[in-house]
Amino acid sequence: MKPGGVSVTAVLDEAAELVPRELASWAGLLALTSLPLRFLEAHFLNRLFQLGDNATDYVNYLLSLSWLVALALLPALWGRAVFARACALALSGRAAGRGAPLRALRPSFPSFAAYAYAATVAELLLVLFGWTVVALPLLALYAGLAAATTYLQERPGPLASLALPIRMLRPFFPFLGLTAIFSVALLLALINLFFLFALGLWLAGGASGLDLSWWQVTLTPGNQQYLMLLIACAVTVVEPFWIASLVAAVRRVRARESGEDLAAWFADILTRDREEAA
Amino acid sequence: MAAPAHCFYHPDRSALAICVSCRKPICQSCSTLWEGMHHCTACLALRRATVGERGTAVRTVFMVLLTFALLALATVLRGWIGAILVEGF
Repeated sequence: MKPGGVSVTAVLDEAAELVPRELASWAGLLALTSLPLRFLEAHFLNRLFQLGDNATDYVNYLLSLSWLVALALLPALWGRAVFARACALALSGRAAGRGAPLRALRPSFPSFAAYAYAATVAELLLVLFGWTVVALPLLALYAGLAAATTYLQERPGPLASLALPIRMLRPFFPFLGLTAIFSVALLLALINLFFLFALGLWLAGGASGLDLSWWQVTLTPGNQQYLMLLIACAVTVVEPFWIASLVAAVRRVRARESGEDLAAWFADILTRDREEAA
Repeated sequence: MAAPAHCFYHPDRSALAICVSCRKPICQSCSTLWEGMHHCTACLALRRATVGERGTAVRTVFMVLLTFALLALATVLRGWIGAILVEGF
């Protein structure tokens, strides 16, 4: 680590190495807990667009779907908190050659309450301003940082819990760069998933005796529900890397603040000098 | 990231971990694992002095209630704002 900066490429390297090698099972847990939420959100939006001009006549139905989304949010938040904690434990245990221990499953209750509060405020802002589209990446960044700082929430408070993720944004541009890169990654994941399903359909077409006409109509980009589900799946695929990157970035920001990066850099130089002398 | 080699409190001993609060390198005898994180003795003593457990519990209960209230608000607004926006556009 070089002193003084939070490098986007270094953070991405760290996350890309960490998730598949040490956190694969934790990423599975994250996907299991967040998929119901993603699918319900997709279903809610699909029904909303289907109702169109008559939406206010069916507001009770939309509210019942919205309550289901709220119910699914709670396990999703727990999964995110656990995954972020596993990332932090894996990163701090690396020097000792250990992965994330099972105790990551039990984040402390005050920390989790503080995170759930910050994430709910982000959800409320998403409901209020999500339709502007411009707010989406900023809210995704805030919600991700709230998860990445869960283990740092020691004293929950209505303002302190909201301010902690923002305090980590002191070098803002690396986080902006990460958000831009993950927006592109989300789009690429979406395209890949689309072609994966198209390939599966094409291969299934080679088998005799299968009637694929229903699937051919369903798995088209013109089908709004299919498109929503694809977006939900793409978000689920990208999410572990997004959270791991933010945890790694937060760790670097804290190292920079405490001078740990200078100590590590100096130790690196000393080690290199010793190796060259030997 | 290469960890600094020696304990902050015992320079003759190898560092095992970094305290999650003060970020100082610490050896095995200085480290206490709490909530899965390494803490040094000085930081644990400071936490004990400053953080009253009862105060934290009361604040946490308040935060949970506030979270449920905000979640309910977000849920109702999601239904209504969604319906109004879709009709408007």
